[in-house]
This record gives sequence, structure tokens and C-alpha cells, in this order.
Amino acid sequence: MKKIIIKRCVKIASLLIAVVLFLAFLQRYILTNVSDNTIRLRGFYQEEPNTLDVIVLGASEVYSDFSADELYKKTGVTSYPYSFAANPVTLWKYELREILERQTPKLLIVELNGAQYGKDMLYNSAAFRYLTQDMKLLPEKKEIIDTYGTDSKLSYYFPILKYHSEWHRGKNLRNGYSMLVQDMRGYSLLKGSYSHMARKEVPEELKDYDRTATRDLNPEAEKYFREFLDECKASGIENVLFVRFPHLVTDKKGVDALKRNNRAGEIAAEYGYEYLDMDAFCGEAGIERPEDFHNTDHLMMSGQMKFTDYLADYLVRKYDLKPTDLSPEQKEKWDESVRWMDACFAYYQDYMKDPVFNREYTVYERSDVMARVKKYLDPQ
Amino acid sequence: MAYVSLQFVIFTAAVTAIYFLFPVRKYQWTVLLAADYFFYLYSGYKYAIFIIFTTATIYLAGKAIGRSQETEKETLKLKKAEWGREEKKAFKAGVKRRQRTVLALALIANFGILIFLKYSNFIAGGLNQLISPGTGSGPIPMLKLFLPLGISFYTFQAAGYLIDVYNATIAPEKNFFKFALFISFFPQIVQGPISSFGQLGSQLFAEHRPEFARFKAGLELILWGYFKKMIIADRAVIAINTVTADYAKYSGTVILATALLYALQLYADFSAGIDISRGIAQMLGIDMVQNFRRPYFATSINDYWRRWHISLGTWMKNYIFYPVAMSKLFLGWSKKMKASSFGKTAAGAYVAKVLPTAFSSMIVFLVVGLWHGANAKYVAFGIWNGGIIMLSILLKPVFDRLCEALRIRTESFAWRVFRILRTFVIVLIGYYFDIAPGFRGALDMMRRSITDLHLRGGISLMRGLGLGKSDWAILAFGALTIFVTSVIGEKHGYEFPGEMLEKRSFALRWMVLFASMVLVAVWGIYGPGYDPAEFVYMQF
Repeated sequence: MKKIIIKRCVKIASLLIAVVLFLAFLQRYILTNVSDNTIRLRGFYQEEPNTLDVIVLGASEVYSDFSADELYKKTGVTSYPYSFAANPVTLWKYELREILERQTPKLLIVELNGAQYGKDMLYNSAAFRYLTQDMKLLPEKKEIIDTYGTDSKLSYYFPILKYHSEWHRGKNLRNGYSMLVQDMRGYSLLKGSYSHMARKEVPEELKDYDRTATRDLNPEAEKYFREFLDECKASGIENVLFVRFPHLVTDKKGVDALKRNNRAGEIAAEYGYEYLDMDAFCGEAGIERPEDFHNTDHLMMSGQMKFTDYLADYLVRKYDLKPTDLSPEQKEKWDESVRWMDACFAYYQDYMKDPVFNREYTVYERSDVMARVKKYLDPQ
Repeated sequence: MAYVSLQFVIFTAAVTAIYFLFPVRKYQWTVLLAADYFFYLYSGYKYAIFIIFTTATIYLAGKAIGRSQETEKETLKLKKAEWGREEKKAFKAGVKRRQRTVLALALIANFGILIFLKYSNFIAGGLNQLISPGTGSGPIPMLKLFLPLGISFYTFQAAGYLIDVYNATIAPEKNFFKFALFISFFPQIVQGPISSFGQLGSQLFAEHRPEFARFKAGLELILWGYFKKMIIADRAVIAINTVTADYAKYSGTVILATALLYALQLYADFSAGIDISRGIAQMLGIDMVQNFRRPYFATSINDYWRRWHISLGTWMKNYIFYPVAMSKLFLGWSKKMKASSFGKTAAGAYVAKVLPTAFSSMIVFLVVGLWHGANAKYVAFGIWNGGIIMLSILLKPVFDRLCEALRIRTESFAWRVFRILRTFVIVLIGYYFDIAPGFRGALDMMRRSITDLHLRGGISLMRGLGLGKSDWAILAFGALTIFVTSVIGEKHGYEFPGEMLEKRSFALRWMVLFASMVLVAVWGIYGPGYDPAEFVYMQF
């Protein structure tokens, strides 16, 4: 009798475990908020602990304008863009804790766009979901969800509750498969880079405006920014650089954003940190306006490469960065990543021979795009 | 606490665990009572007063009738030698009168509450219409009333108990709390099935041990219920609500498709709720009555009502149909007709014989219509169903002769299929009264379903009903699943698909259960951003 009961319990338990595991698998790759942002953040957690010397924190400007592979190729310094779309200053202190939980970067670069957001962007629920999905620090994750979670809080822990009906969307399937491939490989190839392949038509840049003028941040944004700065101080991180990545200023909105960025720079300076408006260096970097821009806020892949090269020189000079000390296996992985980035750029150059305008076409670690890029891969 | 919620799943699991782990098995039933009241109070504490009132009044009335029956027996025993036949008869009549008074008072009080809460605005509206026709208002004010959870179901169940006690088919329950459990049993309080005390009572109070077979069958039934509710019903209702919100915008094709979709949704929804209820009860060791038996395979409207909402049909049959059909008034009419010159003819004799049955059917369906809601469209729904049944009873010899004359082989498969389709069309016409905004709307929708059919335009319009291609594909899959399982069930007498797997290999059963659970989790309509529809029959 006892044997029968045990046998039945084992059967039921095995069925339930199989269902839970299968649903957990679907939840990880398809029935979730899966996008380039989640692939990028997953890639961060796949990097070996304490192997990244530079972390770049911020919103879409970071992964559109900066390439960690290119920085490594140029300097031998490892880095990663800890960034996702519309990353608001609201979350930065949590992100810093999360970064420092796994890495001990010599330099933290913070792109300030997320500090100039208005109230709607400060509490953008998509951003909370991007960040919390893979977060390792559970108390911080809980705090974010409890404080900012908009709909069912349980769905932040179990995304399947919210995204179970997304199973048929091609984008989800593609991104989910890409994430699975990346997970199986165990590391990211493009290191979160998101390279624009098509330009959008933009109005002409304004000429008569004061590039150094300032404007107050949203009071809540300022509060969160100061909290982040306090966190930076308390963390003991060696170098923190605040920057504004290249933008085209074409209207009043753009001018206001610049002014608020400058104000954020002033606040950072109060804490003893440096602020750089990288727009000023576009000429030196060889970035052509507007040809190297995808839209007003993001660079094309050509711009991304030029900008990263320029930034690499600046960082090595300024912070005396030395090539990261990597094990042979790690070095091999980074070298492989560089080859892929080169292939992407070759693909980009080929694609731009017959460019398509006003289209959203990007190269990021998505399986179908990578399959296209593969033929440009150096066979070596 | 919605059936489709994590809270309900946790609640049910906790109740089941506590129920079987309760140290004193004799008092296991108290766990259920506590769970019932927790469920009821959690769902809306302000409603509790009504269920307590019904429980108390019906319990006391039952006890009074029971005591009267005991006294009657004892007195008759004592006076057996002393009293003559007439004295005994007079005594019995007096006792019965008193019992009838108690019965009537208790029923009036309880049905009075139900009628007041459910129908007062309907009655006021009707009276206002009579007093000031066409104005849309009148001297009788409309009240803001709320309907306590499950009031129709528990009132009918309690009334059935009292009538059974009055008829001495059951003994009254002595323990108030046990009776309270019978009235409030949480798996059935929301939407039935309406059980009799004789069938359910003893099971509720008995001691139960966990049984693997019951657990397995119960869980499979619950899973099947969630499959129908979350994958089919809650998906179909999105399109149905879109069309019915403003049906004038849509072509007749879309309206017809919506009516068909409603037939699927209503069955999936209602039978799902019942499956979940029965599955929970089954795990607890309690068998609740079957409420559906593949209703769309009915070959006549009579047959349909023996397959659809069986427990309500049984209640109506026992407590309305028989008492009315066997009443002095109806039997008197029948006798009078038999005695008349018309009654001497073959047709007249037949009509006189079936007249009480035919009229009783009409009355029953008027009540069924009103039970569904306080609206003229539900009255029309009742008249439609009752009228068809009445005609089918009265014209049965005509139809039989017609079949003979046309040499129809009534045993053939084709004839059976024809009858199933014919019945379905009749049922479908009744559903128009359900989905339409009112009586006139229902007629208009029917008219347009016939006169405004544009297949091409209709199909393209189906795209704009709030459902995507994948949703329609899932609905088609769900409908096909129900159809195939129903065909097999009809052929082999299975109650639900889980039974079909009973003798299959472990691997196949395992795969089907695995797939069902995954499908419910992936295809089910739930989670933030969705507002899963309440079970349709909850509103009744």
C-alpha cells in the first residue's frame, strides 16, 4: 500500500514538475518581456564576475552610440553597456548596486539623458520590467516592484502572468530564440550593442542657442539623481564620469534636454564628478552631422564606431586604463566578439551601399540578423 | 473571490488540506462550513445577512414541519383505537393545513426577498410603462438594489429542501450548522448545481478520507473546466461583447456568427463552472449531480432541457411541473375537455390527455425565463422554449403521422442528425433573446441574421471584433476539442474527457494532462490587463 502511495506521489510530482519546468522555460524565453533590452541585460550577467573594467550606464543613447567590442578592440579594456530603453534616473541607484554586486569596474560612465526625464518617463513601467526581470539583488528588486510596480506585482516575478498571450508574436519568438542561443553559448557576442542601419529624416540642426545654458531638472528626477550620486560616493567606486552622448538639437525640446543635461552635470560637479558634453567632440571624432546620426538622439553604426574610437582614446588618456587582465579563455571569447562586431560593421558598410531611409533596422544579437552577418565573418 | 484566480486555487488547496488533516473526522464538515462562510464573506460581507436569513427561516420552518409530522404520527398512534376514520382524516387535514401555512410563509419570505431584489425594478418598469406609456419614466421609483451572490441558487435549493420535508420525502436536519453547510457549500454557491438534500446532505456530513482516484478525477474535471472557461469562454466573450454592444454596426453574417459563438461561449462557460465545482467536491469525497450532458446533441427541445442545466430542470420538474400538472385545476380542465364533444374525437381525447402537461411546461419555462433575469427578453425566451415544447406535445401525433407519410426512417442516422440540427436552431433562436439588448433588439438581430448575409464582408468584419487571428484559431481548436470529446462521450457515455483517458497508457494520459495544463497557462485569458469575465450563470 505504502509503495503504491509513493509511486502515485512520484507520478503526480513528476507531472507537476515537468509542467512547471516547461512553463519556466517558456517564461524565460518567450512568455516574457523579451527584447534587445532584455538580451543586453542578460548578457551583462553572463560576463565573468570582476572582469569588466568599464561600465556605461544609461538609456538608449548608450547601446546605440557605444560598442564594448570596439572599445576592447581599440584598447584591450573590457566594458559593458548596462542600459535599456528609457532607463530613468529613478532606477540608477539600484542599477549601481546591481553592477557592483557582480563587477568591480575601474570606471563608471553615466549617460545623463535619463536624468532629464519628465514625470511620465521617470515612472515608465516598461523600464521597471526590463530592469527587474533578471535582477539578482532580491531586496532591491522587491523594493522597485513594491514602489513602482503599476499592475499586478506578482507579474514582475512571474512574467508569464502578463505575457502569456505573446506566444505567437514573431518578434517574441525571434528574440526568445536569440536569448536561448546566447544562454546556451554562455556569453554575449555583441556585448549589448544595438547598431542602427538606417537613417531617419531629421530637421536641420538649430544654430543660435547657448550650449552651456541650464534648466532645472524635474524635482523628483533631481531627488533620484542626488540619491544616485550619494550611492556613487558611498560605493567607493574609483572613477565616475558623467556624459551627454552626441545628439542633434533640432527643436526647443532638444534645447531643453540639453539644458537639463547641463544642469545634471552641474549637480554631478557638486559631488566632485566630471561632466562632459560629448557633442563638443563630434568634430574631433569625425562624426558627420547628420549623416552619422540615425535620428536626433542616436548614432548610425558608422557614428557608433567613430564615437567609441574617440571615447576609447579619451578614456585611456584620462584614466590611464590598461588592457584588462583576462584568462586565455576569456580573451578568446572577447576576440571572437570583436570578430563578430567587425562582421557587423562590414555588413553595415555593404548595406549602406544601397541605403534605406526612414526604416527601423538595427543589428543586435538577434539570431536572424546574426545569420545575415555571419557571411561577413572573418574566417580566421 | 473569482473562480479564475490564484486566490481561489490557494483557498481550495488549503480547504482540501485542512479538511483531510482535520483531527476529528466526525467534525470534518465544520471545516467546510467555515470555508463556506469565509468564501461568502470574502466575496461580499454585506450579502451574508440574506443567506443567513434563508438558512435560519428554512431551517426553522423545516424543523416546525418535521415536529408537526412527528406529533401527527404520535397522536395518530395514541388515538388509533379511539378515533374513527373521519376524525383521523380531519386531524390529518388540520395538521397538513398548519404545515402548509408554515411552508407557504417560509417560501413567501424567501422568494419574496429574491423577487424584491431581482424583479422589483422590472415590475416597477412594467407598471410605469402601463401608467405612462412611452415616457420612459413613471411614478414608481426605481431602486438601487444589489443581488447577493448565488441568491437564486441557494433560495431554490433551500426551497426544494423545505418542500421535500413537507412531502415527508426527507427528514428535517436537526443540526442548524449542518443545514447551513448544505445551503452554503462553497463549490456550488456561485452557480449551482442545485442539489437536493437527499442527494447532497448526507455526503456533506459524512466522514471522508483522501482517495487517489477521486483526487485524480476531481483534478482532471477542474482542469477541463479551466480549459473551457479560460481558453474558450473568456476569449469568445470578447467578440460577443463587441458585437452586442452595438449590433447595428455589424452585418447579419457577423450577428449570426456571434449567436453561434454565444452558443459555444455559454456552454463552455457554464459547464466549466459546474466542472470546477464538481471537481472540487469530488476531491473532498462529495459527488454533486451532473448538470450537463452534451446539450447540443439533443434531438428535441425537451431532450435539450434534460441535458442542459439538469439540476434546474429537475428542480422545476419536481417542484413546479408536477404540482401544477397534477393540480385539481389542471386535471379538472382535462376532465372537462374529455367530457366535451371535442373530447370524444381522437384528437380531442389526445389533447385532453396532454393538456395539463403542455400548459405546465409553458408555466415552467416562463419561470425558467424569469429565473434567468428580470427583463422582457427573458420572458420571451421562456415563452419561446415553453411554446415549442407545448406545441411539440400537442402536435406529436401530427408529426408522427407526417413522418409515416413521408416514409422517414426515424431510426436512421440522417434523421437523428436532422433532429439535432433542428433542435440547435430552435435553441439558437432562444439565445438571441440572451444576447440582444432587449426584446425588439432580439427580433431585429434575428431578422438581420437571415436577410443581411454577406459572406465575404462578414468574414473580413470578424477581424475587427477584438480578437486576433491566433485567437480565432484557438477558438476553433477549442470548439473542435469540445465537439470531438462530446461525440466520443455521447457514443461511449463518458461524462467528461478525463474518463476517456482512464484505460489509456500512462504515457498518453501524462501527455494529455501535461498539454492541457500548459495550454491553459499559455492560451488562457488571465493576468493583468485582462478582465476575465465572471461566469455567466453567476448573475442568475
